[in-house]
Amino acid sequence: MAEELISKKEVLRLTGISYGQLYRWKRKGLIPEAWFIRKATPTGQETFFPKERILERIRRIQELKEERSLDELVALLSPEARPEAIRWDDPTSLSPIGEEGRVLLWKDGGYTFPELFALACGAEAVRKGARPGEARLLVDLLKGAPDVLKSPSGILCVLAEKEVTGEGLSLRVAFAVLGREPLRLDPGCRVRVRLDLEKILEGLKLSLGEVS
Amino acid sequence: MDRRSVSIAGAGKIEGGVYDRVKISGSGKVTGDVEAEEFKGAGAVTVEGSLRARRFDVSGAFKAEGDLEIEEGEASGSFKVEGRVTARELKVSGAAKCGPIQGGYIRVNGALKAKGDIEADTVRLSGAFKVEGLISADRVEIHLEDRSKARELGGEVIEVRRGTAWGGLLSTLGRLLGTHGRGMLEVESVEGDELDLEWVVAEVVRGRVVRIGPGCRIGRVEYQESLEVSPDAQVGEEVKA
Repeated sequence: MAEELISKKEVLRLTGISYGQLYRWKRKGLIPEAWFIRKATPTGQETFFPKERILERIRRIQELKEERSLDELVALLSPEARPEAIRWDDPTSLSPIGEEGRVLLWKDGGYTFPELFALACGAEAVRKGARPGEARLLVDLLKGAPDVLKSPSGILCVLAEKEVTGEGLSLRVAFAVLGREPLRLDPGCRVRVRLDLEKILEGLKLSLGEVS
Repeated sequence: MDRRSVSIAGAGKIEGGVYDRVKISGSGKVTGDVEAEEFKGAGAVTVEGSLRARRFDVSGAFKAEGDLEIEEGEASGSFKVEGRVTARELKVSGAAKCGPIQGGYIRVNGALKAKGDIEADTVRLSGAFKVEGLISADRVEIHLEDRSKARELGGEVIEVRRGTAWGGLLSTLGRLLGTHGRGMLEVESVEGDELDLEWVVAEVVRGRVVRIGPGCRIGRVEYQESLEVSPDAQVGEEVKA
């Protein structure tokens, strides 16, 4: 069944917000473009919205806007809209990062979307058995490659290790590799963790949407 | 990271890539996407791709075949961007043609043709324009020198006047071209909190505090607090919501 629509006028009347606020929120990506449905009515062009969703969204914005900045609101309410605007203070609250990611944090707050993604990859490695020091290699690697986010498909990210033995000396070296398929490492390397970047990215977006 | 700077004087080509500074005077082409801390062009500059720069300054004929994303910049002469324009602050004087514009402070003096919406904190247009979408800003200021068109205007404070803000050159040009005194804006709807309109033809105007000035022809005005209609305006229907 089609969702019930509500006119813009009615939205303003019911919520008490102004035109200015509504347009501002639209511009900032808090209200998705797709929700603005233009229709011809006997009294001229009017804009309608999916009733339940718009009223719920405005209620959430009004509730949160005192304590959160506009950019944080965007991250909370429509992370897909503007990932570049995200500044997140508490990464461990996101399930793809979680408690496993706590040891990987390197600053108090203000994590950007690529940084959150790097943390999620590190945390995933920890869950797969990597030691924090090794996971940190992944975080550092991905932090410096935000372009991966644009098209993660076909890109491999692995944590590998290699044993080097010399005279009376045995050294185990761990390293993180990021590259396109096919990725080849020399036979002496052992892949410890292989990350599915696409899946981690999707999980992160989803959880950013859910925390709200 | 150490970044290279490139400069063309005369005619030349620059490969796309990441640069510190790009400076072109004369005629230059950038093949592919380019990213620079500072991009300066004087003369004929074509970017065969998208351009990203912190500081952007061009005069003469500028064209980008992709998107333009800048922190702040100025363009004068002919300014063409086939894709989307994103700018924290952009001032254009001359003739601009582009896709949707998004930003903080957007000012265009001259002629503007935009395929898509213009959305910014402040939008100031002076001259004549054709915007296929919505012009939305906290503050929209329009000075009409010739016939203009937009689909919708929306925002907090919207002001439309006849005549240019900076008078001089454009109105002189207008007199020469015979466009002087033709300033008029045709739009489907205007919605905002404080509206002060002159020479606007609209199906519907909705606002809290509304002033309908001379030259307006409005089908229906819906207002919440106050409405003032000039004797030189036509309003079909007035509704207090």
